[in-house]
Amino acid sequence: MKLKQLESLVGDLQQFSNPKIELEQYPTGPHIASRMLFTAENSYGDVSNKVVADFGCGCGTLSAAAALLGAEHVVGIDVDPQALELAYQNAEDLEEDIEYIQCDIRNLRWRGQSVDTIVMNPPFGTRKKGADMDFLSMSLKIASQAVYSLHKTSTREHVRRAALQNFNASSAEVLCELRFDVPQLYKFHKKKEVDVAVDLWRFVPKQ
Amino acid sequence: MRLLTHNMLSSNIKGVTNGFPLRIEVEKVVEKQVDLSPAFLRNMFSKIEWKALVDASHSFGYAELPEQADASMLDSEDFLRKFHHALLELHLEEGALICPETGRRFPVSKGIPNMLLHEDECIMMTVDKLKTTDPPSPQIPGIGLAREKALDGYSKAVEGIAKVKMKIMSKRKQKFIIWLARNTKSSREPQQVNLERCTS
Ligand SMILES: C[S@@+](CC[C@H](N)C(=O)[O-])C[C@H]1O[C@@H](n2cnc3c(N)ncnc32)[C@H](O)[C@@H]1O
Repeated sequence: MKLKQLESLVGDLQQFSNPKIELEQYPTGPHIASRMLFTAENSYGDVSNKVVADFGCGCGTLSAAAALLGAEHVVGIDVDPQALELAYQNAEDLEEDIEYIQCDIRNLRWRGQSVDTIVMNPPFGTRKKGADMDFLSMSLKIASQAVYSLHKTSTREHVRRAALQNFNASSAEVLCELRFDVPQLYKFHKKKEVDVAVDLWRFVPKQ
Repeated sequence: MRLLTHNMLSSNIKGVTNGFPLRIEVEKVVEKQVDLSPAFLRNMFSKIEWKALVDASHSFGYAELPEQADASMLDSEDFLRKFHHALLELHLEEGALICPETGRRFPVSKGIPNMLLHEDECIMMTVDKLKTTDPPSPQIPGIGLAREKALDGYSKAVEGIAKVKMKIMSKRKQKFIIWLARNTKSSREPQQVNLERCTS
């Protein structure tokens, strides 16, 4: 599948209608979602024929992109039932088989590193400090092959240090810097759209 | 929920040491066909807990999997087909997953297991979080250290909260936490969040 095609398919998905502030529910836009999964597949072979999990799947954009690129088994996990309902609907519309689990990432317990690849757009930790790190720490325990994640560019050194020193990463690489449009969903955002610089990371977990 | 997902999930309740495999309570199983990929199955085979898969497939009323399996069987097309069917084509649509140790029930509805825990079942992750997520301490000798200490005490206090729960916490301790929070100003959010918890 071509990048453009992927982008347009995930661009048709429904997005949060009543985003919850405390959970940092802003959708991963089609531009970023398609590039993230396209890179994972075409540069690293981490998607097709793999078991892929999407942490904090929200409306399920990343899960959908993984399924469209030929992942064999995709599991989306989110704490919020409304988000999962939406993600479920989105998967139905695309006629893709995607599994969902309602769970708080911090309380996830899986048998070993049973997932190949994890893709995620975690909360940036602006509402609940450290939320991004909870996601990163947990993902590096569960993935066996790679973790793709988005973090604010301003936290780059902190993310690298935490991944390599505190969590289970054997390598941490910024693949590219992207602009993330956080739409004005919330009252406390002053401008119409807040343009945040984010890094697309690829982490390799220790075995 | 496919049996592949079931084969990875473990009970996540605090204190449970052997949470795998979750028992299955079936109300409704559906079948969805997917293309068979021999490469995927061969790769997956070594990661699967075979006995858990066999038992789970029995609870779905599927009895075709052999009790024992080894990698040599992956050459058999017939075996691959059955493995594929059990692993990927059968879905628990309605029912529940049961923790093997505590009997706690996790409902499955529309194929989605609900693994949310009550507060007293959670393993709190907040304890060492403050250290790893905190921005670097200011480079002024003494001050950085004092803050580290305050943070350390603070995270211990947070742990304390989790244990005793707010309702039975003494006024004195609440004041102490608020004091700590004030004295660790520069790390902003966490104490704000937890303060809300303190006063609620
Ligand atoms: C930035 S959004 C991700 C958006 C998603 N990638 C999409 O395509 O819509 C973050 C998501 O993480 C979820 N979330 C926040 N904290 C969570 C937690 N502790 N456990 C599980 N999910 C969580 C939120 O409900 C939200 O859907």
